[in-house]
Amino acid sequence: MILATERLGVVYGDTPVISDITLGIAAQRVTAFIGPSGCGKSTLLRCFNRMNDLRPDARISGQVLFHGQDLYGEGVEPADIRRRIGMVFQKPNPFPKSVFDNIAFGLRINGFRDDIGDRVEESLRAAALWDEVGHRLRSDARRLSRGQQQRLCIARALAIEPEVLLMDEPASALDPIATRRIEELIGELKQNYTIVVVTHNMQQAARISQTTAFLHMGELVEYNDTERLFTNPGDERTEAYITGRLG
Amino acid sequence: MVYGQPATQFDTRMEDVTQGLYRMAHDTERMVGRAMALVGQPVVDVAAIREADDQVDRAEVEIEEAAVEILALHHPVASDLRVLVTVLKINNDLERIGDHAVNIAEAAARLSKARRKVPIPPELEEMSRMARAMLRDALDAFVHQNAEDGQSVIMRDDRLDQLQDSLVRVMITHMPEHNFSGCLQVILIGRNLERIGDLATNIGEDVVYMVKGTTIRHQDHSG
Repeated sequence: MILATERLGVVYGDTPVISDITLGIAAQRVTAFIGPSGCGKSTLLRCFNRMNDLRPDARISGQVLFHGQDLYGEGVEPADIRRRIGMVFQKPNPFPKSVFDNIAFGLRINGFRDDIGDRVEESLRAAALWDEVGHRLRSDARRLSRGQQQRLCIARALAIEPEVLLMDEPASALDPIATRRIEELIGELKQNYTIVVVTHNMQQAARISQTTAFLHMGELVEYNDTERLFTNPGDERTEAYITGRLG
Repeated sequence: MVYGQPATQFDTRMEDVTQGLYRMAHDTERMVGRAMALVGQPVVDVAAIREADDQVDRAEVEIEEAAVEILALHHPVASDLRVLVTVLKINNDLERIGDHAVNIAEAAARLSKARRKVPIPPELEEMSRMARAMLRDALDAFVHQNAEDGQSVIMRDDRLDQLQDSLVRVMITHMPEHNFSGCLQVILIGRNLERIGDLATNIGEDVVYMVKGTTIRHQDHSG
């Protein structure tokens, strides 16, 4: 297991958001987190690269392990963690710069100095965007379509060579064609990266992931092979949720 | 699954499809009984059975279209998906059972025209009772979503196959002294009953899948 949680709990102020979550994330697979709004799936995802640190009222209990090392342990640098565990958000958020600089910027601040051009090209190819933007690297990234912008954000995350990609609703702001491109890309990326996706779209979770976690009211209800979870779930709450009958 | 859609609309559609299948199951079961009632009669009219089969064929198309519409619009998952897949398979099995009922009626008509009366061996009557009971019980298992009852149907199929073997041996023995074509019709009727038993077995297996989510097809159930 490349990532794992041990009795993980998160409280925002006085409100518990997730509690007692223990699970392991297998390498080079796609793991999906599903559950109703407010179930804690995004909060859980954000624990994996310490994004919850950005909320002053957040308190974490339990452990989050990356290659067996506690991510919240003493001396662990959040910036270093976020370099190795990248994140892609719901809304594409390209910098107001050129396509090239969107990727080169992250490389430079992470200390990459050599072969910047080659790395930009490799990242754009890995994100299945090179054929579309390779001839206009100096164009403003905001002029790309939303689907292209989202793939640019994925390329930007890939450029600094992370091991894990966390994706929070990566296709929910995209049209069906752009969504399909992102889903295909996720399928290709899992050859080289470990991917964890939060999605409210259950059909998407079923299509792209090999393992699915169902969370409800901050609790991990079921963690199972995706195929099994969507055809023969082991918990009646999972059954009720995925069949649209959760009260 | 009704993600993003009102549950009631989905539930209503599922209910319509399963009710349609129940009606088709009832009609098909009756067809087999009516076809078997024709065996040994001096005058046999196949038209009514053919007409019933036409209705079953139309019902099959309607149920399939409704099920495909649910798949396309609602993307069912988990138990809903298993129910719908089972409905599609049973729908197909029932249509074929209707065809076998027509085959039985047509064989009964040819038998009625035989020059010499052919003795109907007790094996055929037992096969008829057994195949119809298997069909009825498999369909009851589907209606009540009872995996154990579905499994019990499967266990009976071997006995039906033995009866068919026995029937063939008896009729081949009778052939030299009785009407050859007539004996062949009895064998054909037995063959159709044996196939109805196979299809009832399929339905029993599908009910187990529907209820438990486990596939038990192509396994040795004789033990």
